[in-house]
Amino acid sequence: MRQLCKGNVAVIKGAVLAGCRAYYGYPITPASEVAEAAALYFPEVGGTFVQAESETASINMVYGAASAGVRVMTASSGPGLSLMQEGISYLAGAELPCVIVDVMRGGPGLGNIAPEQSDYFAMVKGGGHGNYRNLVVAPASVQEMADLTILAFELADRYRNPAIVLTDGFVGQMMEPLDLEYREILPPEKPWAVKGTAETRKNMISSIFLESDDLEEHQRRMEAKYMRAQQRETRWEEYRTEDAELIVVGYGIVSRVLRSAVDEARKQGMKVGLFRPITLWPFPSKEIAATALRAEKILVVELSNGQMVEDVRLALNGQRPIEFYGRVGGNVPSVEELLTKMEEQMPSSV
Amino acid sequence: MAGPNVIQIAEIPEEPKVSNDKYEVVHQKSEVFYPQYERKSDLQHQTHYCPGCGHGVAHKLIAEALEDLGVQNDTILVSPVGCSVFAYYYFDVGNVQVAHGRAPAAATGLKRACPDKIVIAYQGDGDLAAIGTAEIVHAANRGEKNQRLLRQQRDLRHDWRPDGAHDSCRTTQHHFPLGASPDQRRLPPAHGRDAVFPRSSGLH
Amino acid sequence: MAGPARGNITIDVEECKGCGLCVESCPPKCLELAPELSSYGVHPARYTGHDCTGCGICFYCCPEPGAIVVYRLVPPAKVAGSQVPPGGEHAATL
Repeated sequence: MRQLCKGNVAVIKGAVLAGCRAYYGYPITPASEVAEAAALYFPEVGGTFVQAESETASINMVYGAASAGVRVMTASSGPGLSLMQEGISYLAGAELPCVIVDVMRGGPGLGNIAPEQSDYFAMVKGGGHGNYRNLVVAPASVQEMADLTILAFELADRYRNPAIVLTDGFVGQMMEPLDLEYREILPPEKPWAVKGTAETRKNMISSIFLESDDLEEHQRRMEAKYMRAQQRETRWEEYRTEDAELIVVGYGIVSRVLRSAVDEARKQGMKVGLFRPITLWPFPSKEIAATALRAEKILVVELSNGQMVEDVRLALNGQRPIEFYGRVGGNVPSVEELLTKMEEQMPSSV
Repeated sequence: MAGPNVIQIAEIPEEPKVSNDKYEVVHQKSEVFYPQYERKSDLQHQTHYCPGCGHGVAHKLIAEALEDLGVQNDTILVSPVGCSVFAYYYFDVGNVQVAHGRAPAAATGLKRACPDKIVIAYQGDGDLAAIGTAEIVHAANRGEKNQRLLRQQRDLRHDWRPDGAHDSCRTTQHHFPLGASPDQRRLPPAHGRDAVFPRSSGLH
Repeated sequence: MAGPARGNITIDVEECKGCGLCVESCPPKCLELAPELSSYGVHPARYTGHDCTGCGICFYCCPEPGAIVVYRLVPPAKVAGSQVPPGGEHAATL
């Protein structure tokens, strides 16, 4: 069924299809529509919606519900995610699955309500304390807001880890056609959960390992599952990169503008291609390195002061020159602006 | 009586000497407790609480209530951070350990996921009234159903948070009776009046 | 006092931490802290051997889950025609 839908609402439609029946959150611009849609739809399917008193409380409610083995989610923006970092660290340490949506806005501090991509460090590199990783997916369209939310639930359950849907205020607010296939998705069985039954009485959800050897073993197990995820779960998209001399890299709304700019550049004869990471962790390092080696130069565009570009540099390891272009404060570059930048950066123009 | 340099080790007393079919047990360790506590490789039969700490009494009352009601299998215990962080080593029920002060929020999520189960959020005074004030007030305001929140009232209070929720720690005189015999005055100073205890929990 | 005490308790010296709450709270004052030390370096509580009524107050004051076990004399069966004084057989000793 095809419908016109807002990005934030599409997240909830995907979540409902994925079998998520619990939402604990607090509203914040530009993510409030996620909470509103959850309040509207979850009770209709027998789910739970609670507006918590703060994001700190909401992530801990997510912790409690995840301990009971249900599919649960929350959504917020930068300032709220900062409040949740303690809870995310606990969720990762206790190996609990959940989905957290970050609709990024201007920062740091209160910032503004316009889109940015400045939570990359906080979400992809860590943010909370301790040795853990978040599984991060980055939708760039309303369709992907629904599809990648369903994927996020699957990844979270597969690896017993929090999964983050990292998007920006632009994608969250825009309205596009959404194609949904109504099917029943059955969440997997979770024998480790604490459900208040005789079978689960012996189970315990905890991130405490007092003995050094126990904690090291626990972290090695977590490391092993992160390595498995890195081998199997990278997702990316390449657009017209086969013969490109300049590869532009972007995610979220930036990738949409870049795609249009690549089309314009190609019309003018410039050999440009787009590499769009879909999973930000695990980052498609091998794939971007392989693509970059076929080209001569990389241009990374972000709505930040340079966050994802560091992962691109790590992946390429100095084998190709990398340029960065960023806009912040809520300013999203136009197609013309990026076209000009591409002209400047084309290897043949140097 | 032995001199000060000779330590006599007390022996475990035998069962009552009168034949057993005349005495029946009226109170003993609840089945809701684990027979052995796995927290450390030794000390598996003792809790880690200070001597005289009210946590132990509260644990005992909760365990007895769960046993009498027959709901051991239906219970989920949420333990916080603080001295009672290790409650999951003692209670043989489903256990979830959460961050400092967040037990009411986690219990909300648990209770709404398992509406017909018993969810107990067990908290100490700092967990509930210092870092966790917001969570407990709002859980109460939402009227979370059937969720039991226990406020641990203790006579031994710890001073590891210098705010109004805790006072500096001192024993009260009636816990440690002095003066019953001259030998008992040779008890170590920590058993005396107004002694100051360090933190008992290694977790903070 | 005629006959055995109505109650009896055993205290596990390995579990007792010597806090003295039971000694303080026992109504007939039949508990004491032993002068010897347990292997953990505390003076464990000890039943003096007489006067226990089996009330169970020591059990509820004790913070350790299993340190004290409280026993009580099984009440004598009422034989048809036997005269049991009000308050039970041991009423005179209470």
